[in-house]
Amino acid sequence: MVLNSSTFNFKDGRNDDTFLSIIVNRRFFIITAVILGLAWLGNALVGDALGRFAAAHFGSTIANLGGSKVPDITEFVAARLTDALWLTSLVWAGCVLIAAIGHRITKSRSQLAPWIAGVGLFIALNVWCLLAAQTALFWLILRGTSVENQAQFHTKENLMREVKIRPLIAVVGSSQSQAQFTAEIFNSEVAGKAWMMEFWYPGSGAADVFFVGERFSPKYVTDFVYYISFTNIYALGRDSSSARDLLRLRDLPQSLSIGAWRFFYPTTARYTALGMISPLFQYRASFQHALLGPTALPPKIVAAPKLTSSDIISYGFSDEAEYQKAAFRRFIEHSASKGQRVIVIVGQMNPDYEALLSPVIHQDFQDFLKDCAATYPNLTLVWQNELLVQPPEAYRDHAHVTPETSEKFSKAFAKWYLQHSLPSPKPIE
Amino acid sequence: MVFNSITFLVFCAVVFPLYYLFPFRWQNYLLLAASYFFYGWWDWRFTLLLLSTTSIDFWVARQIGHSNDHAVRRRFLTISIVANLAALGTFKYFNFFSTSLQTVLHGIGLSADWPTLHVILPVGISFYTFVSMSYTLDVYRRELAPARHFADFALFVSYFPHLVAGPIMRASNLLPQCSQPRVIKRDELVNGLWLILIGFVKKIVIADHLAHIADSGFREQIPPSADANAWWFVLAFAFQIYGDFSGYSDIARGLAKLMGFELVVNFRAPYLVTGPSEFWKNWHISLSTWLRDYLYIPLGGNRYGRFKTYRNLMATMVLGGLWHGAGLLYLIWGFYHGTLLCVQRAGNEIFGSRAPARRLLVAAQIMGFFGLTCVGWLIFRAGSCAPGIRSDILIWNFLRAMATPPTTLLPIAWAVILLGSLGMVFQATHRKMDLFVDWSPRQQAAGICVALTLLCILGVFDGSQFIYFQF
Repeated sequence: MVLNSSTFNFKDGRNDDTFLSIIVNRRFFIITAVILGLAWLGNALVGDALGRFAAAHFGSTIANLGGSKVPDITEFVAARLTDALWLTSLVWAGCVLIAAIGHRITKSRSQLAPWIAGVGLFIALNVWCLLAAQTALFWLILRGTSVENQAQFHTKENLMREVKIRPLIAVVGSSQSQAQFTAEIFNSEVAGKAWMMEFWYPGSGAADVFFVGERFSPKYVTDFVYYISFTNIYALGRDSSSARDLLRLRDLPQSLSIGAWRFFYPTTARYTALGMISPLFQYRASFQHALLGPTALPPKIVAAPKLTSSDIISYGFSDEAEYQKAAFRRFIEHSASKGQRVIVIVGQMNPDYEALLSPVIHQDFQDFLKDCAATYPNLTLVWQNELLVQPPEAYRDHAHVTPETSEKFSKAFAKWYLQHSLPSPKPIE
Repeated sequence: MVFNSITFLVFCAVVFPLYYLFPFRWQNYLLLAASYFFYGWWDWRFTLLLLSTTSIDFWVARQIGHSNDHAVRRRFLTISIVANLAALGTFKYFNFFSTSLQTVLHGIGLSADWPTLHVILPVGISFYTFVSMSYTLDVYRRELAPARHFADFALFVSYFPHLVAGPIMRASNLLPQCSQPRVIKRDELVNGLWLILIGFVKKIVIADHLAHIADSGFREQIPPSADANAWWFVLAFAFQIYGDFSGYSDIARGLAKLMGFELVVNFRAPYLVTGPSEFWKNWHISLSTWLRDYLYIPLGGNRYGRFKTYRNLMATMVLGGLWHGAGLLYLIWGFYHGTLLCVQRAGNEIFGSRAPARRLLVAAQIMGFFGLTCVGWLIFRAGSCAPGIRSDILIWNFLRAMATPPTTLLPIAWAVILLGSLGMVFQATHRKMDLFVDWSPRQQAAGICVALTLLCILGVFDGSQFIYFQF
């Protein structure tokens, strides 16, 4: 693409769309390019100083913005400044592209040219979105003040790359994992010897954990902690929101090889496939949340089905359970191949609820996990009761513990982690 | 098969390339087979009903066309009308009228227990019955010669873009297009693509999102959250039904254009009008003109004095309401609109029909009438509430709540405002929407990109049915 003076010359009488002409004005590009260049230069020279200044004056506010996932506020601020510049540069590049495409189609006489250009712009917007999504700032803006799973996950995923403490522990699993662990407490207990971040996804089964695990390079995540209970394997008719929100095109072979698509709901399969092609589509839940608020989302996206006592009675051996087991094995194997450790906490549901489960299934669940532990050296099994006994009063519903229990459990796990692990932490240079 | 489904995408991927490859006569056979396949996708038995309606009207019209004897012509026309109304009555209205009659008889102390029919309502039966019936009526009036080829006529009735939810095509318009080779012009092709794109935005971005909001409001007898929210739910439904139905019409017209057909315009900014008469000239135009030509005018129209004009207006609107659904509330909805038309007519007779000169007054009139339209939609929506909900209580609760203007902007309000505004923009520009090719290329490119982005971000891809399919 060659940009020259004629690219920005829209005074040929064929352009009546004033608004677009303003956007693609030549002076606009030159001035903004200079400003951007200066900003990048300034960032390189005084970015860290600005970070220190902000950390000193607005430390707690910024920590809240980062959702308490920020070990170093100075670096957080500096990285967000870089994010802001990167996003602005991307917008600038997008405008240049619009100008160039606008110029091309103004010259073309074909009636289909606007269609080609429109689709081209749409593809460019998708690329823009993909690149912008590599910054935490993009997700922080999208997330706003409320909580939305996808934006929350991506925010933490981006922030994780800035954490220099090792081992870096990713907590994976369903909302049960989230309820069990309070990362802030764990992190304060281990006092800089490790760093925990939560990457749970609502309603996750073992297959969802596999999808999530695939995203994390050993460069960042050294350990996975997975709080597993039998629902993760034996629940029937599970909808995979993690697939819809997170699967990338490059995950397609893996998802096909474990037979995941057989168990997706038709809507989930459609949304996952479209999301693999278009990042704009994949991030729709976050965009919708930001634009319309949670009430405007279709019910399937808003409300995950709640467990009832009758659910557990229907649990049993099924193709779906076999698929979840295969996915679990694949998760451990892949982690091993990447050199990542997996600590699986053999968890439980509310004991009142768990008592309804067939003992045969219970036994099968335990046998399966023991067999995996014997097969894969990177897998460590920890039994829930070794850490903390959780009576029915420790739960606020069928599956999720109270915040007090979560606090106790996180402390117990921190103690176990320090005792049993693991090589001494080495900060990354 | 619905337009917003993967199945339909596959259907198009097969039908369109073959259509472009085939010569004219084979194009018709292909479209006929495809249309029956499209319709049979819901339930293959529906196609038998469609085929019998088509066959009877084809045969009847030929008999009418070949005869000069007025009595014979009239007899055959009666056969057509009775056959069409019998199909409609059996599948759509039998249970409504039988249970209504039972209720009335019980009310006066008479015992009347007869069984109800357990039949499925064939999708779009009201649409194709009216399409087919208009043909025999036109032949009877000597406005049209009977079709020569059964395949051409069958294609006219069953042509898949308009089959299940209109526009209700007239034989004088569509039949010649079926009987003659079609030329696909490039600008029509581009316009067709535009209409399809806009139609999908209306349906799966605006209507399907607002459906979620409106449904949440009509789930209980009392509008949830707070009284002030009632308006938002009704507004959400008003834009939902507009987006849903006009979106369907746009997609239908766009698909037809890609095949060289031209379907009639069905909507023209109906919420930006100042009165009921203008509303019906711009909302579901093909139905209102059908009712005007085949019901209101034959009843006498406005030719026989004031009283009969009001009677004809009311009869037309009540039957129009009943056309939408076999239920008391649809009837009341028709009655409501009939009343509005009568009041407007009476007002015009007393005060004259001059439009106000000031823009502000016009805007106030538009807003005022939109409010009245929304009250109508409340009655209409209450007709399809979940079982167990007393619609009279629901309507009363809503009306009471709507008497106070909204005082809070809850999150749903933002959604309604955003998506509703999008709907208004579409309406305001609707007259220009057929002239996309007149836009500058950059405007077109930007429009396409924005539409695709909206579909991506806000589109609901769960293959939900269009509201008007049930009619």
